Amino acid sequence: MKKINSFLLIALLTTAFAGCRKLSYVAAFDQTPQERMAEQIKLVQDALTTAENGWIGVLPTGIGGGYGFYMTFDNAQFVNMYADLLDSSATKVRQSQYRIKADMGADLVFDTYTYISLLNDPDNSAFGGNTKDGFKSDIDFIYDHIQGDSIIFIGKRYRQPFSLVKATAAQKARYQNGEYVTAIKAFKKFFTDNPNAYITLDNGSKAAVEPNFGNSVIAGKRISLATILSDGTVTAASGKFAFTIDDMTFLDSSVTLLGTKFIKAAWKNATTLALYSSTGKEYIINNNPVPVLPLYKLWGTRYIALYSNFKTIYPGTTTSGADTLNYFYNNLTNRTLLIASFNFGSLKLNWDIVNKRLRLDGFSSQNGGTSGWITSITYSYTVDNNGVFTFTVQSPATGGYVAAIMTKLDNFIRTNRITFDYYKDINTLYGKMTSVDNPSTEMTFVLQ
Amino acid sequence: MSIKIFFRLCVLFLLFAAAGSCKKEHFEPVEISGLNPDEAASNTALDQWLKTTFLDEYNIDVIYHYHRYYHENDRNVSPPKVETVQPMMTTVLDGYIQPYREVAGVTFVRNNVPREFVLYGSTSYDAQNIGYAGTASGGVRVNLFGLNNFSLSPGFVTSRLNVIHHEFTHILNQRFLMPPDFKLITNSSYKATWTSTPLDTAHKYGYVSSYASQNPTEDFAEVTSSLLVKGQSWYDNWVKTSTSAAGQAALRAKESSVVNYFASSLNVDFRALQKKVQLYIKDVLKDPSVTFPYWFYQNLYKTMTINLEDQLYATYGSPAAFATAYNQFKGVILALDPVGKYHMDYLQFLFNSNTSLTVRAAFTAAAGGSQYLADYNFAMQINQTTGVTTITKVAQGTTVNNQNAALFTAGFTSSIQQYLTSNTFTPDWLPINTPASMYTKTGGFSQTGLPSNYFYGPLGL
Repeated sequence: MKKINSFLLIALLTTAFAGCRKLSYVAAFDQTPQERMAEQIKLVQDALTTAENGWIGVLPTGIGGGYGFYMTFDNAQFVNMYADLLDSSATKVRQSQYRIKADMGADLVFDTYTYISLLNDPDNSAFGGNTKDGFKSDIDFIYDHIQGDSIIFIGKRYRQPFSLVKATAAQKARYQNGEYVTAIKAFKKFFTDNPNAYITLDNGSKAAVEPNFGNSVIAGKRISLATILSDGTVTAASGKFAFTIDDMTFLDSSVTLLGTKFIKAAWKNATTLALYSSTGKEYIINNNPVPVLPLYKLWGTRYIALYSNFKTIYPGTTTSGADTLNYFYNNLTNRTLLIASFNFGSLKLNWDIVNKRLRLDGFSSQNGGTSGWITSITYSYTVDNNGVFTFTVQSPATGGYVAAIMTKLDNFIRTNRITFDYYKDINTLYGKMTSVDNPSTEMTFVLQ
Repeated sequence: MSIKIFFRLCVLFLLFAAAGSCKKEHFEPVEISGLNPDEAASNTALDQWLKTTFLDEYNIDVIYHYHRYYHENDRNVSPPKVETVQPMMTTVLDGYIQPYREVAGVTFVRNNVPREFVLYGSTSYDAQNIGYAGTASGGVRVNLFGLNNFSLSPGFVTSRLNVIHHEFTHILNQRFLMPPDFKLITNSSYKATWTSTPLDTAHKYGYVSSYASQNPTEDFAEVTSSLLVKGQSWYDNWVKTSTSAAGQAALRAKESSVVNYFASSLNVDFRALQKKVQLYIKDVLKDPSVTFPYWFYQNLYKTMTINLEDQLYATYGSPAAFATAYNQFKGVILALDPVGKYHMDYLQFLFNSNTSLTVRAAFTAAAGGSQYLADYNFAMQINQTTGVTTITKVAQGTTVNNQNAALFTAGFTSSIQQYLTSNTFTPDWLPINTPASMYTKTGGFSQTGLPSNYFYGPLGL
């Protein structure tokens, strides 16, 4: 019995002391989570509302280009906004509401419709974004950090950085006086007046400067730089940009060509536009008499594909060219030619310059393009010094279900000598495919 | 103290010590709800209107400030333009809440309406790119999408009203069980994979939509919302155009079950509710598809029968212009044979198509016996937009009824024919003051420009 009592005593002693070893809750911070979150919300709220001259914002989108904004926030949760999406949005202020709430950090939500919502809108009719996804751009942004006069947020879903910089009184006045659209038009006019814009790189070679001022998801609001290397090959870089009232800000940090990080295009004086590098070096933009780089030199570098969207005949396409493309589109539902009917299709010419191949992809879908099948025909090619291409079938149509309606375009590629050139329609640059043997047949595509 | 007692006290002490040591430090829960406002703090005129109209009156919270939590997480949905909120919610008020309030009473509405209406500017697309105008969840929340394209046009508003009435039926079913007999009507053909059921197949088997063929619960809600929003004429046409007799019978049985459910379980006059909703859609939204002219042009109704001796006309009146012509022709028939003293039993308008009309007089000898028919052939021209109808006489045929008609040609020409061909007519659900149970069951025609002159009768499909 004594032994049992001893064991019991030891067990109880162990339990008592072990119990005492339990750690009490010790806060890792000197404030509670809600205190810290409240503090951060207040920090963001105060920052946004106390900037007396408002904020200049730039935002890259997930699958589209970049966009610029000017915003002022008040304490009644209203935000006044200008944006570079349209001339009207750069001219007319739009008031909407916002709030800052706790989420994965302090969350800035543009919670009623405004210009920034257009990039988020999944209805194509709103601003041309993709159905369901829009431009893959957010309307709620998680606070990231403040640095100097800047406050940075990250899009909650699409993770794009939304950078706001405090405006000066002079900038505020210009935004509110309608000068934003004037500034945007000046940039556009410069490139219209200088269609073969280029800069001279540090190595003395010329680099073409090609902005796309359109708003298409695929190619709009981007700028590209491209140059020919000493070995005759081409290197190119492109990135998204947004207009501010002072410059074209290149997003995602920079557009980097041959090691130089270009961060913006801005006016050197009233008539001279220049690119500026991250080190502050200036590169004046001049105009070449002819395009600095022929389009065919840019395959595989600046551009990797020519794309024709569902039932879209782009400007510059001749009647004969449209017939060739429409043979594919108009027969997607032709059950005599195909084993199934499709409600969406597209065509794409993919360049493989290493192996000197061109692959024609015919995409077909029964759910509006969300998913589908690809039929591919691969050609090998030769190109002469004048940029005339001759294609030979490397592998015939394989995969998918639409070989029978790709025949017209396939026949065109196989039986014609072909050149490629630019086609510019207002603000949009397309790639044009022309038959040397039958010059009346021309087709334009989106350059990708 | 003996060692034994001391030992026991030690054990007791240690027991308390062990138990006490297990007490954890007080831990403050994280409370961030105050930092996570679901709604903005704005207090605009719109916010005030929403508060007084919906929150104070019905305990409905109308949420128009974007909050990701309220929609499916995998979707991209944009907030509404503020200027669309009040017009949208006005249609909810007038096309949904007010009809229920007027028919079922304010308490019924307060007890049963969904507690949240969440508004969005864009459409909501699922992974298959299918766009949604509205959804509902848990009997508590109704999501309405696409407000940025708000329009008082019928298609926009009625599609949302359809969602609301559908979802509200689910809520009612949760509180008052749907009738067991409904589940049995087409019990053998429900299929969870409703998306693979084409509409014409669903129609054939007695469903108002493919979605309705999913299960009895959705079926019940679809029948209810269709009757309320698309209307009785639409439903009658749907029944009539189902390609199987079983399907037609099922649709009628479902209609009857819904009407009975509202009466017996909810103590709500479904026909009165239906008329309220339909009048809103007809008179405010100006939706032509719920009007008599629309269905007259579609040739849904095949007959309109007039017997001025019927109690119907004693109750709802019989304007003189037509009654004079009617009675004049009745007198002509009576005068045909002093012995037989034929009596005109009724005058029937047979709408053979939307361009062809037969006016039929049925008459019987005073002593009874066979009823005879006299048919007069006309052509009709209906203005598809306004419904204004012009009637012209065409040559008689050679049928027995046409030959019978020849007995009274002169009298008919100077009475009924004269009235019909010397005026143009506008169709409408007449008379206008009938009870809800008769709404869309009678129709008629008023003289264009002289709406007090009209004739009407029960409609036949």
